[in-house]
Amino acid sequence: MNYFPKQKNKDQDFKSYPDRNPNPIFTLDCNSELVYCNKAASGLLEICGSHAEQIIYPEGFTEINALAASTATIRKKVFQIDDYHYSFSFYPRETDGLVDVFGMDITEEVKHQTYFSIISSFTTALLNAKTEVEVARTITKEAISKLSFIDCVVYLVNRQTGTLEQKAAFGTKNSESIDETVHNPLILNFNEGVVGYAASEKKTIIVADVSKEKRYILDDEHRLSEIAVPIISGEEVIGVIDSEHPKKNYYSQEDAKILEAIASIAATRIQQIRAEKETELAQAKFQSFVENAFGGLYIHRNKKFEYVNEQLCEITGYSKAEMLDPSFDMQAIIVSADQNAIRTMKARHQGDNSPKSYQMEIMSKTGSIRQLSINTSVLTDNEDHVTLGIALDVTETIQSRYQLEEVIDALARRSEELNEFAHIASHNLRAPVTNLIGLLQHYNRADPSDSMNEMIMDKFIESVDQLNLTLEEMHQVLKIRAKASFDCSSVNLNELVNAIKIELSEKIRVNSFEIKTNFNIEHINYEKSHLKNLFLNLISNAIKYRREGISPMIKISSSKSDNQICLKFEDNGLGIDLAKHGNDIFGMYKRFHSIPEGRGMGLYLVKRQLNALGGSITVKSELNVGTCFSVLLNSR
Amino acid sequence: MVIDDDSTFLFIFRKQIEKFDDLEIVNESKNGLEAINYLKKAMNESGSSPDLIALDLNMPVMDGWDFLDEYGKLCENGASKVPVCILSSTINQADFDRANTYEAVKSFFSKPLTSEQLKTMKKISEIY
Repeated sequence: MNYFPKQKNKDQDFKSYPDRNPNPIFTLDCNSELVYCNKAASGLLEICGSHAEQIIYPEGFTEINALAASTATIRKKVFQIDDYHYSFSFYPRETDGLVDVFGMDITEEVKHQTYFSIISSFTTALLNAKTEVEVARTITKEAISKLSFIDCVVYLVNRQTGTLEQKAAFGTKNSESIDETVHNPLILNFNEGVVGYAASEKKTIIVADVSKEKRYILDDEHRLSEIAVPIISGEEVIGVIDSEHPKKNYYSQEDAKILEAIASIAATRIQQIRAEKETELAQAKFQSFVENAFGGLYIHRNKKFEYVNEQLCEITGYSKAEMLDPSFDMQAIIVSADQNAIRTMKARHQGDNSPKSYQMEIMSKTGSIRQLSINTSVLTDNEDHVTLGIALDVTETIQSRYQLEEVIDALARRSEELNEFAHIASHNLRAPVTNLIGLLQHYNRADPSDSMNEMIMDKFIESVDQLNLTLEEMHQVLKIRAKASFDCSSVNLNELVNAIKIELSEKIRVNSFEIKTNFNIEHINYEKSHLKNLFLNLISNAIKYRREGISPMIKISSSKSDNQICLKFEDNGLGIDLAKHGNDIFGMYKRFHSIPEGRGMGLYLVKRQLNALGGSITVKSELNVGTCFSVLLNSR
Repeated sequence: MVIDDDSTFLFIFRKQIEKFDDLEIVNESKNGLEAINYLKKAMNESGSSPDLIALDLNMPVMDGWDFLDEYGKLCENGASKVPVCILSSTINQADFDRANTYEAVKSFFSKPLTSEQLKTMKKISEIY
């Protein structure tokens, strides 16, 4: 059976086959001398002599004799000759000892393999590139230098100026550079030169002959061909890979493909770096925001602080390290918390993670009490409850609010007092004045000797005295109100009572009045005039409102109660119906007895004077039994 | 009758009344309590009552306001309703307003008292 078709002109056609074969074929004898070679082989090998007994093997053919001499059945070897790669197979003949050598051009395959290994090592190397410039350098160092280009420059787009700047190079452009920087970096606009054109067109530009390309810009050395490949991420051109070669027509579509692959991988990495940078920047911004926030911020997980900012450290007085220490006990520094805090605890316990706010007092490391206003919310992270909190130091705010309230209260009290004072004063000033006017109407001017005139004159003097007395009393009251500071000195109570006894000696004698004293505290540091007025008023009141038929007396005692001094004045006089007059007893110009001496001013002044120094006076009384005044003083 | 603790005012008041032949002070009380006691006594003993009450406000023991309250109770128990004129040195609007809430108070005079005001008081006593 013969499956091959019959051939015409068999000899002629057959003999020309080896020479038409583009692959080199040759035969060596046992001395490695050339016996036969086809046209492709003779082009490859430099054959000496007409019969080609001697051959000079090109560089790289080092092992060929050894391979030819080997006795192995089939031998195979790849040799590189110039830019070409050949795989040679050696077939020894059994009959005559000659060795047939069949070569095959595997330049393309080797190239692909090289590309593959370049891409793979480039991809790995890129992971170490942390900046865009490092990416550019990796392109030149790890990829293009391994291709058989003479030079290469990587341009990157400066995002501020929008220009293309040379960032990395290999070959002549940085042959002497140690630190990988580019000498005299060229800066191009988009659409400027072949590089700019590639960038603006967003496609690879191959220029076979730069002498015919008007866009060509001479950089450092004159070249004849050029390739420019844009690095594109999405729609944005990030940079351009550019290579030039002194030969015309140097760059192939294959070169374009490998450079495009490198550009695309580089673009991905640059994109990544930019994203990382943005994330880092955002994180840094957030960090700075959180650290410098007006309030104290914290993250609390499983009863421990996971994060605290500077401000919280400032509020609490503890350092970050101290607060973040697992042994730090937040509960220990809480002095008190409000109702909302307790409600929040309950709500959290019931799984309510919504934002809540409450206030609490803490003791800082330095021992000062700080009022905090806290806002919290809870995140659930797996099984853990993570509390995010903002703590504002409201100590000063609260203090100033209290102070403000105190001032407002004081002003309101003062305003009310002044109102009352104005009304009463106007009434009590008007009364004697109206009397004076009335008296004048009845004065007999026509007859000064009218006996009535003398009586009117007496009444006139009485009214003027009354007017004078009222003015004097007002002055007393205003003096207490106006005085900001008081002169305090040590007052001996026994001496004080003795002095009053002398002052009131006539009344005491006439009424057989008895003053009993029992001073547990004998010396009081106090404003002496106030103390004297107090004793004088209460003692003379006791004499004035004595009960007839019994021996009138007053018992005066002093004792210490907490930080205050308690004085008691107990008499056995008429007593006051407090159910009826309780509110008025210390009022201005309030009188309860029809005894003419009473002007309703004494107790009012006493109370005002005591209040001015933070003291107080209270009264207990029963009609026809007696009255007891209790005075509390802050001894100065 | 007049209720006032101010002896000087009473002195002047007496002098003014003397100028009218048909006017007479039937009683002078130093405070509200004395006045109530007088009115009770007069009612019980002779069944008579004054034609007009001139009342001061600021007095010890029982002031003008307390007197008005007590007098109101007295009238509920059958005492004849005598018109009351307030004679006070106050110029406080709150006092005027408060006085207006009493049915018995027919007029309010600020001291010093003039003859014209006395004539008005006389007319009031004749109307009621």
